[in-house]
Amino acid sequence: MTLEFKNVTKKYRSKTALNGFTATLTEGVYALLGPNGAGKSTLMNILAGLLKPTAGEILLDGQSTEKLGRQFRNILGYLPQDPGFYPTFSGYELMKYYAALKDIKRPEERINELLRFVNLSDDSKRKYKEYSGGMKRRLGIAVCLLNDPKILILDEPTAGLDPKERMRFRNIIGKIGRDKTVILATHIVSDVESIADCFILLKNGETAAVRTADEILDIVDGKVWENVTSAQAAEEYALDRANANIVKRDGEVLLHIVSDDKPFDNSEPVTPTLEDVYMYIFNEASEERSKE
Amino acid sequence: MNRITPEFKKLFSSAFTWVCLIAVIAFMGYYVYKAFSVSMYQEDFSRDTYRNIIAEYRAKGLSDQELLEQLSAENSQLTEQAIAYGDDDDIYSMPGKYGKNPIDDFLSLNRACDYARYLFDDLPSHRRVIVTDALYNIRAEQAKSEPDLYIISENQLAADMYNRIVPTEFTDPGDVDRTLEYFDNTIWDYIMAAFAVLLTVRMFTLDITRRSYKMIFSSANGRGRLFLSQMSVCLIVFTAMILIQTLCQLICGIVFFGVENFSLPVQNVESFELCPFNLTLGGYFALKTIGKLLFYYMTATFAAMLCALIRKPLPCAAVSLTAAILPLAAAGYIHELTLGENILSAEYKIFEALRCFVPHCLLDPETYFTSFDHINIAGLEISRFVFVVIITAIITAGCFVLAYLKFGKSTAKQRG
Repeated sequence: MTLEFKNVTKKYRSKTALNGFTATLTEGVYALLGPNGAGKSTLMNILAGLLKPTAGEILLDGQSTEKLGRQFRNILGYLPQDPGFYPTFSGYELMKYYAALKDIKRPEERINELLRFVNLSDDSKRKYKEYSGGMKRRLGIAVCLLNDPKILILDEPTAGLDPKERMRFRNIIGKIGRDKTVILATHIVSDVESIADCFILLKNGETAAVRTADEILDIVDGKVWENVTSAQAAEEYALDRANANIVKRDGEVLLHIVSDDKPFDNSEPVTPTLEDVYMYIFNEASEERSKE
Repeated sequence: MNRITPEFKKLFSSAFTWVCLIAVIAFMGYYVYKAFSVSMYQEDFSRDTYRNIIAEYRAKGLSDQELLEQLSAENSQLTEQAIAYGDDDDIYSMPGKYGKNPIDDFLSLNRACDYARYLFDDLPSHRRVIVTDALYNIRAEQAKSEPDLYIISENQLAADMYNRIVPTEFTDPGDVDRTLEYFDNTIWDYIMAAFAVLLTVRMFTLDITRRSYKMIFSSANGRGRLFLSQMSVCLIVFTAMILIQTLCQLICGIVFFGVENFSLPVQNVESFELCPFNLTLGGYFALKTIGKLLFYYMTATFAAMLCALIRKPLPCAAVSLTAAILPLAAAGYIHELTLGENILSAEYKIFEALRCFVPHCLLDPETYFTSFDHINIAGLEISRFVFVVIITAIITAGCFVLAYLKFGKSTAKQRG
């Protein structure tokens, strides 16, 4: 199965939310990275059929998803950041409601199976409003999986979750992503670092980079530096720079900098992380400085 | 049903829905109370005595004219007695022939006499006059060199419809007019129209305001069936409310105003004297309920259509309320102007035109059944009530189809 985005553009009067997005997706977990307003939600809403693109199209195995309509929605699962579940419904009732919307006949067995999968079997009779943040997100995933979708869209699925729930969630996504196309939008880099097969970086509605997990770190290869400094000097340096942060390690204060050039004579190159890529690409402060 | 139940739950999970519902039920309670208090203090005669008199005279097996004559004679006798006693309070302590005292007898007999006069004299003679006039009009028109076929067909129909024996009975139909007064008035119509609009707008914008539309609309059956389920919920709620309202009205009629025999022809009630149809009281209540239901269905589908087009609760509610209530207010205002006016006056003509095309007049269906009220469409004489029902059904179907198509196709206006 191939999902192809061809020059997808969305404009709202004078603002361009998404500009000529082009990419080809197959099975696997795709991390859609970008700061707020980068166009992630717009892209996902277009894919889910909630927004019409101003230009361009999305093709599923060569056929327009818009023309496929219901056939496409049948293989789609979409979990927005706020799913807007009704608080007076129980988890089971919500599952049953969405099963009807997804036209699933005799859904009881599937519902129970999914509730077990997301570890909510014991809480299925409780009202949604009584669920914790993590339980709500897990229920959202279960609802999305009701129709066994081939394409799964998850918008900021770990926002507001505690570390334990985030880890739990990552494990669930990891399992699902083996035979599905999972598009996971987030600005929390650590959530996707270990599970994504490919990274799509969006910036101001434009594609900043599309790289596989093996290639992504190449972007900042040789551009990440650290040097030992005093706490006061590190704070002064990092205060107005988005490309630098302070790391405390073994009782020493380290200044961690992502930069094309070696920032200080005593700076040493270090192994980059995905967060460094994020910092490098979405570093607005450095961008502004370069404009000046 | 498994698709409708969650929509009910969604609608009633909103506090706004409960506020609307409680407001309507409170007004309903108020009208029941008002009907009760009026029945307690405004009756100037005893209905039991009145019914005793009617039953006694019916048991005599007299012909209509004999019954009327005997009743009139006894009424004159009692009137003389009442005059003879003057202001003497002793009369109240004397036993009556039919009721508790002679004054009770006098008032009830007087009313029974008026009623018999209406049934056996006025009703048939007025209908005869209409038939005679209609036949005269036909002959006069036919005598012209270029006869107006519209006038001929209208008069012919009037002659046919009134040249029928109405199977009235000399029996008390109860106070139908007062029964209709509560729940068939402008204030109640405004309340119900507002309820229909607000509830529909709430139902159709709930998913948008809660932001659950994203998951719902991206589901396989997300839109078309959702529309049908939500529309069904609205229509079920309005049907229930109208049926409860009708039930309240009937209970008030039975308990407070003595309206019990619904198989009587409507002409048994004086205000329906000129009704050309063979219609029972029960049939009239049924038609009235259907007319109202149709009006609220139209209001709901219109509001649903606006929701599909606009998708924002406040503008939807504002436009739907205006569309539902403004013509109602205009029709009511012009109706007030026409009271006591000549039927050839400009105001009356505007009102007639409104009654033709504005479905809001379905809320006041009595006007369609208290006179010969037909219109001619391409040579075909059709009852104005039927015509308005057809117009309303067409508007309802149009709004429904448009809303369904728009709701099914539309993408959300919200920015992603």
